[in-house]
Amino acid sequence: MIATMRYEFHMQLRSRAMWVVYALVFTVYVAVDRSFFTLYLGRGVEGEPKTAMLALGTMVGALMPVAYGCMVADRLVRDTRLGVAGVLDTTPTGQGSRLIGKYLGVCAATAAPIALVFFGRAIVFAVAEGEPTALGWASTTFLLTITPGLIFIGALTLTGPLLISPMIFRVLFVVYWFWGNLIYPAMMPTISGSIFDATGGYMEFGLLSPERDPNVIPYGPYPGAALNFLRPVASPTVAFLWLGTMLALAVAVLALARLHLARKAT
Amino acid sequence: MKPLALWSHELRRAGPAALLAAPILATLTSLFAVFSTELGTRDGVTEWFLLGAVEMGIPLVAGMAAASLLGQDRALELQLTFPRRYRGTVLRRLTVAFGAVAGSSLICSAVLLAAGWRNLSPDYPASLTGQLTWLAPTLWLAALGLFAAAVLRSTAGATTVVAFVWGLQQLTTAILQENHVTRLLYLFDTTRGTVPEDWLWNRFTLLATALPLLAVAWYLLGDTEWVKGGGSE
Repeated sequence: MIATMRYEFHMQLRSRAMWVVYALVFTVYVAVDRSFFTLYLGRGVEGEPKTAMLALGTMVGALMPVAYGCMVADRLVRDTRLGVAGVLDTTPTGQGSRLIGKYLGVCAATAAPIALVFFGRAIVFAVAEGEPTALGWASTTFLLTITPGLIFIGALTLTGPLLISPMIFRVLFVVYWFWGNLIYPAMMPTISGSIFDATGGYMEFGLLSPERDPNVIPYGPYPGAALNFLRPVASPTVAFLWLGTMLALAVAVLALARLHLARKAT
Repeated sequence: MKPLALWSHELRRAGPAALLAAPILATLTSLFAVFSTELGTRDGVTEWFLLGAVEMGIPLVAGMAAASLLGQDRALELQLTFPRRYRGTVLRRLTVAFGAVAGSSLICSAVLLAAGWRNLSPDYPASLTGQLTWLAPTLWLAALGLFAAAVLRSTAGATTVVAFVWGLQQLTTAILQENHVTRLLYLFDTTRGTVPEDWLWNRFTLLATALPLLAVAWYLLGDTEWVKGGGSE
């Protein structure tokens, strides 16, 4: 498992296409949304490193996972396409360890450019503002709001193409990302803003930044939205519930994929 | 092989994914539109579903399909030695995929007109000129997909570019609509545009900017060395 992980990690990290695509999409992203170049990203109280880092997390976490998911999507089915899956099956390494190793390696490598951008920007902020605490908040934000979503999305996109063609899967994934994470919950029935939302809203407003303007409704139930029972009012408990949900979903998806692979092998 | 045989081969080679994705998407959206009020969708949104599928969903399918066209040929080296140029094969494959998408878009547009849902956007032309609603973004994203696939020589990379551009335009509508130039390059001008007078210009700009993308892809795909250098991804 460790060997698979290391191999997959290095293979993806050395993929020139991955870096070029990330550089390209990120350049386009900040060229359009230029709030990236303002220290506080147009949000929050000036002089508050925590708010600035959370705003950065929201911006990076809103769209970069689309690139991440599309890039992870072909990694598992690639073995079959290249005809090496059968060869790998004959090695002593079990199918399960290979799956987990591949999952960890690919996800870590594909998330690396996102982390690079995030922490690079955090360092710029820390130096410009003379606020070393920003780096602590940056690590907390990345670990608690962005990473859990990436853990789940990685499992989903790695194994999804086992069932349908990668092209269709990517289309569905992009549509899912918007429907399930970004649209206003009142627009149509959606899991956006709910406990199944892969962006870290619950972590941000439940645990890291619970003090909100009293005039603003608390993060959670959305007026006039369907499925509001999936949107409890944000609190530290709910934040950890969300974290648990993301991890559980990732484990469930990987377990189902393992069963699917085992069935296919027989 | 006779031209007809080549076309029928590409039709079979395109596979069910590329051919059926757009029709299935259109059918599902129509079904969702019919039942969405019962499911709890806000009033007034339902009618936009099908128009949204025509202008947003179908172009996404076309772009992703175009981005996935290269890199699936098993004996590419052999193909590159044939008297029939590889780029011709790719163009035939693109046409087949585009045909499936265009067919579903036309049917959807007809349904929209028949159901009177098109009247929701009275500022925009509906019938013949209205077909630019799907034609412009579909062709543009397909051109972008093929261009990215030809330049990057990586399906994962090319599909990511298409997905990201599509997603970015969805997410930053307000910013893109502020500026005249970015407004002309905005893909979803019928459903989310703010300046109806610019609509026709927007559609023509999209069609016009799709051409250089296709031209670069055409040029690169004619270069055997370049195509071969991409590896199998």
